[in-house]
Amino acid sequence: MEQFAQQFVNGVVLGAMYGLIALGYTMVYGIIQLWNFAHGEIFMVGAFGGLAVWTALPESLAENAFLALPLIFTAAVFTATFTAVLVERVAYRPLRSSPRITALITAIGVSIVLQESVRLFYPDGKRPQSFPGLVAEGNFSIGDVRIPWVSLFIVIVAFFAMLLLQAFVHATKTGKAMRAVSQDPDTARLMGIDVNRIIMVTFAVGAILAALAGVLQGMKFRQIDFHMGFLAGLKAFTAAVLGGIGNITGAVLGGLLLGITEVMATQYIPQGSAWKDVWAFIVLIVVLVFRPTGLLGEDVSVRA
Amino acid sequence: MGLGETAEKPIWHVHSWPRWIRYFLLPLLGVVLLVALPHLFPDRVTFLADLWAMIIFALTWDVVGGQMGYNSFGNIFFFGVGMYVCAIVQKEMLETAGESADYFLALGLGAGLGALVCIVLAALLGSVILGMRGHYFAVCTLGLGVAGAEIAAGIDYIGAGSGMSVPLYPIDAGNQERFFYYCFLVLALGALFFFRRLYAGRFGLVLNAIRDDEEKAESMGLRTTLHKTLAWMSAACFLGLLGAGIGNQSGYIDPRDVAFPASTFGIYMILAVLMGGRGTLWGPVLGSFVFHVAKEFFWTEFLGWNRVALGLLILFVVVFAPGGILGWVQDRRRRLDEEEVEHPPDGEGGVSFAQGGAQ
Repeated sequence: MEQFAQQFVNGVVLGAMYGLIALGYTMVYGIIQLWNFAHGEIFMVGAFGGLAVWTALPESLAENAFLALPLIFTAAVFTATFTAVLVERVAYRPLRSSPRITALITAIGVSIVLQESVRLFYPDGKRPQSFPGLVAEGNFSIGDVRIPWVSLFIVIVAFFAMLLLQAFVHATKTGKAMRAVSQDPDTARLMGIDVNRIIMVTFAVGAILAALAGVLQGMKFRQIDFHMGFLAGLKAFTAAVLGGIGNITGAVLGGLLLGITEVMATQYIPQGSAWKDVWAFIVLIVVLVFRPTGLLGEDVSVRA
Repeated sequence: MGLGETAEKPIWHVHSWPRWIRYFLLPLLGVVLLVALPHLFPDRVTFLADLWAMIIFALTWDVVGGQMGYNSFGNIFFFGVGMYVCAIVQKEMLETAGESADYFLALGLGAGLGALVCIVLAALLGSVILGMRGHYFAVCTLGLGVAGAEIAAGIDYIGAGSGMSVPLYPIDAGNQERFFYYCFLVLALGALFFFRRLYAGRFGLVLNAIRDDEEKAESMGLRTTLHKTLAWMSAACFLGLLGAGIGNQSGYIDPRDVAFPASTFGIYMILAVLMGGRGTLWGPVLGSFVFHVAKEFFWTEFLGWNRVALGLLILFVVVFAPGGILGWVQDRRRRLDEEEVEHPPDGEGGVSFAQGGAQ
């Protein structure tokens, strides 16, 4: 039982990070029906942006978590947002009326370009980089369940980020415009909404969340590398589909479910740990076969 | 100018050449050239063999992705399965039979069994996965490709994550590179003729109907699921054979980089098709050629920047020639012909040119 509870907690922590990335996928899909394949790279670029600033900090500052953390997060968010907005402007906007496969291939191309840029331009970028832990090492215990402080920190950051997102989407004018565009871009335009600006904002918001996830991932695993975005992105997309693509609550729920499934399968299925990364795809295939609209999704358009 | 008189056709209209040139001389020259190539460029044999492999990749992708309109990102799965099955068969046979075992017999049996397993898997998976549409199909197949690598990396019997070695090519059997060149050449030509026959008949029309409007095709009484699955099975068969060959050519099988390279060759085959022109027979062939040469060029000239350069080239082609190279050429030709119809050279009108407009 303790083992189960322990794994459950681990799953929630992993799922919180998947959820953060999945939000970016789901929002972009909801607005322009694009599977933004490069979103996983935005997550990776964010983590590297944070690391770059931390490396540049003087030692006294770098050791102080209360000062360094906000700086890292700010840097990560800025790098990721800038990259995402640039990608949207340069690569996706000119293709908005072209066939889906073109946009998808472009997204893959962008993803390659971003990966390779980090590999080439980040100092020694082709090797994994170690990432600072910053939050106090060690655990605290509830009963027999041991929870590292880092994990608690991850869950708290993810929770507040998602809360802020809800507030942004439901309580601000821009958020309202976002929902309008996702329902019907043409009518939204007729109502005087600047659709291009809203799309850009959507990419930026997704990038902010992905950057947070990138830094959190780095803090948890103490290591980042230039191709970590591929698998993370694929899993986050699975989470988004699982929850119902286009649905914000669904993305968070899907992320948590996926994280928990992955951890439980690794623990309880024989051979499970060797196939750590397979479970996500099995979940994906099962969901797509039996409930392609996801857990919370409504009927979405199906043809590419 | 009367109806019977044919206008002077430009030289590149191959269809107006005499029959004996088209059906005898050209194929003969082609075959002689293809057989002689590895002898003409002895230090380029592997490059040429990989070109044929790329053509097979592209041709098999285009069946489902181009003719049928289902963007599969996971065809590489069958490639890896064929490779592993063949290697296992070879290993078992050579281990039980010892020194006396025949390498080529084992290779042939292994490749055949690999292709068979691929066909069965495609039938099983296809009946489930091909029910999805659009992005769902795309992401599901991408998952399949990546999952293939992860599953293989978890099985100890085939060496898990560190991979397995394939029985050695016998030293006394001649040049190994050349042998695989001819293997892939035969396989590529086989695929070309097979798909040519397939597209020329009713089967191809059904695939196109599925691409253009699946609901309508279904309500016309076409058995769409059957045809979709059969198309995927045919692609899987060739991919399994190719996998078996590549595994032996490289001599070592690694689950992520050699057997299931979902993020390199799994994507390259699509890019090659998009470059050449999807949904055509020759587009994938042309695209593979351009892609493979460009790739080799970038790898030698811009090492470090190679993938960036390749990515940019693809973006360029996709953005400026959405129909690929072949689509662009056809478009140009149509436009030229239309201009001819509007302004006939002899100023009389387009009767004799009507044929040119309707290709």
